Amino acid sequence: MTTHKEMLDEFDPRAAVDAISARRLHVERREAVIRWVLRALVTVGFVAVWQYLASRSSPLLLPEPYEVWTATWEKRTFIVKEGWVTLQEGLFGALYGGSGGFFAGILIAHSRRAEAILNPFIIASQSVPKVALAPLFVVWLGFGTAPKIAVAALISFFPLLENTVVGLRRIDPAFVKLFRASGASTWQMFWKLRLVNAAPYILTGARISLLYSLLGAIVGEFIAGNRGLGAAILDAQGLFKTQLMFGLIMSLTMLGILLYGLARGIETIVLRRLHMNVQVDVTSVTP
Amino acid sequence: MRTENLHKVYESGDGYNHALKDVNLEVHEGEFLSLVGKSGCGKTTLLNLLAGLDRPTHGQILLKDSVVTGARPDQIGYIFQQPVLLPWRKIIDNVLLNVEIMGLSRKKHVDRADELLDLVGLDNVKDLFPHQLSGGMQQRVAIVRALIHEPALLLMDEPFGALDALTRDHMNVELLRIWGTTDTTVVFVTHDLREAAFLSDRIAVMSSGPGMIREIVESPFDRPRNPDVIHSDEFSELTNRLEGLIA
Repeated sequence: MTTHKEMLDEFDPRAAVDAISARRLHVERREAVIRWVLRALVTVGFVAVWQYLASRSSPLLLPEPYEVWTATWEKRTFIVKEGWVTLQEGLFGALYGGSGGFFAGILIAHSRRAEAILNPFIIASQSVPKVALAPLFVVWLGFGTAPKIAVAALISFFPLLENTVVGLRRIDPAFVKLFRASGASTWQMFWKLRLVNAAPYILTGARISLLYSLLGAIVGEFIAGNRGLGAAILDAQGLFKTQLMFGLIMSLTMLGILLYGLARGIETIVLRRLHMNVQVDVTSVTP
Repeated sequence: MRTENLHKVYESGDGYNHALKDVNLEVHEGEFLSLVGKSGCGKTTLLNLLAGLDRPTHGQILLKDSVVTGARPDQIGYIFQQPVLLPWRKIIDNVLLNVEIMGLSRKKHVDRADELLDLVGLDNVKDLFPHQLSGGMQQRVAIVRALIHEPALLLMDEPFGALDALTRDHMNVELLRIWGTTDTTVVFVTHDLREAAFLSDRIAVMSSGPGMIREIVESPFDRPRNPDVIHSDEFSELTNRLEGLIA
C-alpha cells in the first residue's frame, strides 16, 4: 500500500536513463536515414544532369553514363591489372619516400644542429614542384617502374618528414621532466615517450604520404611508359575513347578512396590501442 | 641532504634574475619539510636543483655526502603538480615506469606495486588506463609510482595544487597515512600555508626577489598527526605566524 506522497516521489533513475538513451538512439537513426536519402538524391540528380547534358552533346566530349559503365565493365580485367601496377608503384614510392621522411624527421627533431644545417635545403626542395622533376627521372631511370616509384617517393617524403618533426617536438614538458627525473637515457626517452607521443602525427603523415604517392605514380605514368592507369588514360585519349577515360578516372578515384580508408582504419585502430583519440592534420606540404 | 651557498641566476632581458640567493638548507633524515612562499620565490627552482634536474650557478648540493650532479632516481622520487601518467600505459605499467627505466626487475616490484595501490585505496584499477580515473586517483597513482622503489627522499612540487579543496584536504590526510608506512624523507613545495602547517615537521618560509630562506618554523604537532589539529588554536597560531613571515 503506497501513500499519496510516495506515489508523487516515485522516480526510477534506471528507467529515466533508458528513456534518454532510447530517445538519442532514435534521433541518431533518423539522422542517418536522412543523410543516406539525401546522398542518394544528390547521386541521382548528378547522374540525371549528366545524362541530360550528354544527350545534347557529342559522345566524344561527354559520353552518357550508361556508355561509360559498359565501356568500363568491358575492360574490367584490364583496369584491375593496370590499377595493380599503379598501386604497386604508389606503395613502393610511399614506402621509400615515407620511411626516408620519417628517419629524416627523427634526425631533425633530435638535433637542432642538423635542423639548422638542413633547413634551407629542405625549404628549397619543398618549393620545387616535384612533378616537374618527373621527366628528369625518366632520363635517369628509363621507362620502367623505377621513375614512377621515384616521383611517388619524392612526393611522399615531405608529409611524413614534417609530421614526424612536429609530432616528436610537440610534447608536454612535464613528461620530459618525468623521464629526466627517472634518469632515462636519450634512447629510452625516444622509444618509451617521444615516438609513442608522436604516433598521431606520424600516422597522419603516413596517410597523406600514401595518397600523394598515388598522384606521383600517375604523373610518372603520364610522362613515359605504357603500364598503369595513367598510361591507360593517355591511350584512351589517343583512341578517342572518352567513355573509357571517364571509367579510368573513376577507378583511380576508387583506388584513392580505398587507400585513404585503409590508412584511416589503421590510424584509428593504433590510436585506440594507445588510448589516444587525437587525429591531427598538420601538414602544409604541397605535392 | 643539504645545500651549501646555493645560487641560481637566470638571464633576463639585459639584466639577470637572481632566482635563488645563498640558500643553505639542511634536510633531516626522515622529516617532512615544506617549502612555502609566494609564486615566483624560487621554490620549484630549488626543488629542481635538489632533484638534480637543473644545475646551480654557484654552490653545491650534498646527498649523503656526495655532490648531486644529475638526476638520482635511485635515491629520489619526484611528484609533480600534474599526475603526468602516460595515457597509453595501463595504471600498473605507469606505476612500474621508473622501475623499467632504471633497469630494475619488474617481477620484484609488482608485488610492492599491488601493496602500495592497495594502501592508497586503488585496488582494482591496475588494468585501467589513466583517462578512466579521476584527478585525485591519478595523483595517488603518481605517488605510488614515486614510492615504488623506496627512495630515501621524496620531492613533491605542489602535488595537490590542481585538485579541488575537498579532495586536497582528503589527499593530505592520505599522504600522511601513506608516508607513515615508509622511512622516506619528504620535501614538499606548496603555496598553501594551511597545507604546509598540517603536513610538516618543519616549514621553510622563502622570500622572493631574490629567493632566500627567510626562516624555518618548527611544527608544534607530533606524529602520528590527528586530522583534527587543524581546528586547534595552535594551528591558527602557526598559520598566522607563517602568513606574517610571507607578507
